[in-house]
Amino acid sequence: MREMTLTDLDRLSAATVEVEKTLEMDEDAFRVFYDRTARPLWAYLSRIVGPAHPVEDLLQETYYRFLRSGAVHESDDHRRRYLFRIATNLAHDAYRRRRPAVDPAQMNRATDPGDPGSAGEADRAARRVDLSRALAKLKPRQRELLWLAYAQGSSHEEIAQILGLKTGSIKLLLFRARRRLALLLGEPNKVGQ
Amino acid sequence: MKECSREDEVLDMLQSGGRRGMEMALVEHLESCQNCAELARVVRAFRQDCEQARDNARIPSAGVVWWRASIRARADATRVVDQPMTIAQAVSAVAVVALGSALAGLAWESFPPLPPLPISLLLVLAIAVCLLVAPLALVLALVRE
Repeated sequence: MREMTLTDLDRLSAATVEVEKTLEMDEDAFRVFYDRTARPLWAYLSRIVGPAHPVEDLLQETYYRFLRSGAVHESDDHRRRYLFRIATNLAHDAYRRRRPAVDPAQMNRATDPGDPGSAGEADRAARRVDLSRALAKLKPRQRELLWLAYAQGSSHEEIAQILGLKTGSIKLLLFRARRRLALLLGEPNKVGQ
Repeated sequence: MKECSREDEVLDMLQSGGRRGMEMALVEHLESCQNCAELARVVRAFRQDCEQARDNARIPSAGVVWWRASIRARADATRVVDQPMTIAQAVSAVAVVALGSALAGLAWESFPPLPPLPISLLLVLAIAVCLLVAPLALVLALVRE
């Protein structure tokens, strides 16, 4: 290993200063923010991209881009919506790179609860599998709309900011997506085909 | 199927669990409204799936995510810090080649006149000199100590 020169030391020192200046928040603030957002973000990514994509990589990339963004946030909610906006854009990049057919069988394995103990649990497990199969049949945008609205309880305004759409168009898009999903959920024999 | 005017009420109830009195009235509405019944079915399915997804999420610890981001940010910053130096070295190399060519041109004029050569041959010679000298100059400029 070669010895470090003064030039190398200056370069590393400059790099450290650059890192401190370019990250969005300090480590303590990040930990608090991460603890509040990581699970919802994981759930969102795993359901909209499906098991064909490595969700952990997308999660890491999302937080990295958020930390490096340098964006100014009005509130914590605004910060959170910005995080999900980054995640959505990364999910779209992942679709374009791989373009896998979202295999209902894969979605089924991803949500397979194993051996349910009681009849109630079996019923819930069956409904989860049906939902996954139905989601696999939808377009990515429809999955995003439905998840944000009904799983996360986001308002139309929040959904519009996350997905980069006009607020006025969310209601109609959501209605159509929901109708399509309801039709798929109502056809258990056809969904898995 | 058309939207129902009470859809927002139904959605609020499903997502937050409203007051009992209101809930009973809406429950009766759900039995008669196909649109809201469909909404209820979809929302319940999503909320159950969301709960399961969050419980089963295999997220790395905040410390690991922070550490990876810091390492990568440092690597990116190092590339940014080095970039001006690399560009300066390349510009210097090109300047050296251009200056050498200009001096060679001036020196050429001091030689006694030679029989005229075809322009195409001159161009070929000039291009050959540049192709030989320029990469060598760049390599010498970019080699680190």
